[in-house]
Amino acid sequence: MKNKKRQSTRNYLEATARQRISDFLDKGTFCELFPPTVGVSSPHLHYFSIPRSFDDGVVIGEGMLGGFPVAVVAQEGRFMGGAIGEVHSAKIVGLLKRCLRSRPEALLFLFDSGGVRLQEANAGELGVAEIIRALLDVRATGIPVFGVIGGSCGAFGGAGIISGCCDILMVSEEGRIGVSGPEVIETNMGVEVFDARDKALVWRTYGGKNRFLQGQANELVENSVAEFRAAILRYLPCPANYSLESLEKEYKELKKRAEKFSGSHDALEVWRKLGFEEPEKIPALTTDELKMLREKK
Amino acid sequence: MEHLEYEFKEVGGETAAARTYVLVGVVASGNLEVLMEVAELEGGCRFSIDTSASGFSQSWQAVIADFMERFRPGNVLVSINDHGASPAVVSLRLDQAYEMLVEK
Amino acid sequence: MKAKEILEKIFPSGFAVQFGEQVFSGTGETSSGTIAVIGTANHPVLGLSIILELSELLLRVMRDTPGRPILMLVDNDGQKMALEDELLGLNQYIAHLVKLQDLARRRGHPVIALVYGNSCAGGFIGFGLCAGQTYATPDSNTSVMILPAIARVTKLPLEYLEELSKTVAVFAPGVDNFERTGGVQSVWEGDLNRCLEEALQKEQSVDQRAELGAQRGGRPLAAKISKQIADA
Repeated sequence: MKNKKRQSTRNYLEATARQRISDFLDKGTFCELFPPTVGVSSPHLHYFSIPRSFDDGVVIGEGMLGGFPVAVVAQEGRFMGGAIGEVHSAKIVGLLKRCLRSRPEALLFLFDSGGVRLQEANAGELGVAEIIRALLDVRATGIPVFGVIGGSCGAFGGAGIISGCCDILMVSEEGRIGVSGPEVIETNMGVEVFDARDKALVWRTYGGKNRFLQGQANELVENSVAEFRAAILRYLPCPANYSLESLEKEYKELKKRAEKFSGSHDALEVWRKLGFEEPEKIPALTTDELKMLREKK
Repeated sequence: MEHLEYEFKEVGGETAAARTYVLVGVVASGNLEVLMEVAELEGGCRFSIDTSASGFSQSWQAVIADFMERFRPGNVLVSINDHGASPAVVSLRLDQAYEMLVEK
Repeated sequence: MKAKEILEKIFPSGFAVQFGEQVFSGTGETSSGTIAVIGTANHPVLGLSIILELSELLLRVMRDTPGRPILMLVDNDGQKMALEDELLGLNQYIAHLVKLQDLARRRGHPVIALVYGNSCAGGFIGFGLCAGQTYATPDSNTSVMILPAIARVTKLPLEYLEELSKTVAVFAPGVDNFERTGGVQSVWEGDLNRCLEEALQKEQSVDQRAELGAQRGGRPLAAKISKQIADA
């Protein structure tokens, strides 16, 4: 059947949130929670004459991954840039709270969001804070949270911050992570410092390769659902690690990174300081080539 | 923004749905979202549309009539969030949704 | 109100705080005991170095004085917008700072944030909204984005948004909007020491903000939705 064949080669970047979940999980195991048929969408968008979405841009539910019970969040980047509003964030918080009782093996958070939805700015901002707290509740009980970043919106703003709260973060080369996006940096620093239309610069700065090379992401994964699925399965089962010791270790790493690379104007400088002698070649390397190169260090 | 509703009495067809609902498409510019679900409508069908492009009711009517003619569905509730999709794209999504609804 | 002034009002029994250019820290005395004080002044933007400074202060409280309440005094103009900070993973630094506040609370430190200056967007999430409870003074500013910028991005007239924000609390800046949506527990007025003492008595183990937002009418759906999903 057509859909079955496509599963293993499905391009993660181009897939919708629903397709990603359907291809990620063991076939037929996904049960959507608070589905679109419940009929609750954004109560605020009509003030801005913006069409709503039946799931408010996020799909949540439970299923199996390689036989392990998991809870899943998948943001739809094509709806309002995956931006987080009241209903969107409440759905995520609800699933996270549910995990404390249902105790899945892991929570998978498939990010695809530019951050807080301006039309619902305060609700989105509070929603992000509530998601962070509920996510850390899940980790505090020992359930690991995996973040996956490979959609067209990446994880920016509040979503970028949430991604930094996961146990394990996986990113594809196409994925991007940040707080303020390229246009904002350009406006703030001038186009001479940052030209938002320079795609190569944007990906060197925010893209998966840079995040992976600096240790901001744990895994660099090919742009396919099958690869992300396999990458997560290599970890399961595993406990969450949210403790004072782990944060003290993180503090030391973050401090060292800031000191070592302070004054850097480009990722190429950072990569060179990391020990890569030909950093300008890195953007053209495949995921496997880059991982092999890093292993040699 | 416009809200449109169309109702069809039983058309002598039947829908052997394999699931209770499907959702296809996304609400992005030039696209639409179709939520198709099984519902108790005495064999009939209902369409509820929210669209960002006003003034196209005739076009919607034509595409929907076409869809009804093609599949002769029964007891199907179709809800749509549209962001300016062309009739061709609307037709495509309706077909995709129906095929997914009945696919074993 | 300036930081020193506010400290005097909150700690009439005395405080011992060292002031840097942007960060200040120390302790204050209350009837329940000594409180750790960590704050920012002169509305800095949150970049890597200030985040590391604030992080170290939180770590020190957790290491040296387990269980001691922490009062965060918030004044920032949001996240730093610079290439270098984004390049080195600003999102991860903000997440780190947020986790420290959260972990402190889990380890039994009451964590209370008081916005007394500005608090904006990523800066507000990073230092302010991830405390156990968040409070604000009436003359402070809480926001995601100023209205003219929202008008520009949404391509709607500013006058329309100003009018809309009179009845809809979900998008416009302002302490009253953040209180109505449940983000700000309450506004501290009058006897600030008493406000602190009351805050210290409050239970911090459950996130009640969505519930507050529903009760106050600013965020009508969030609590109901998450409860329905959690309990299903």
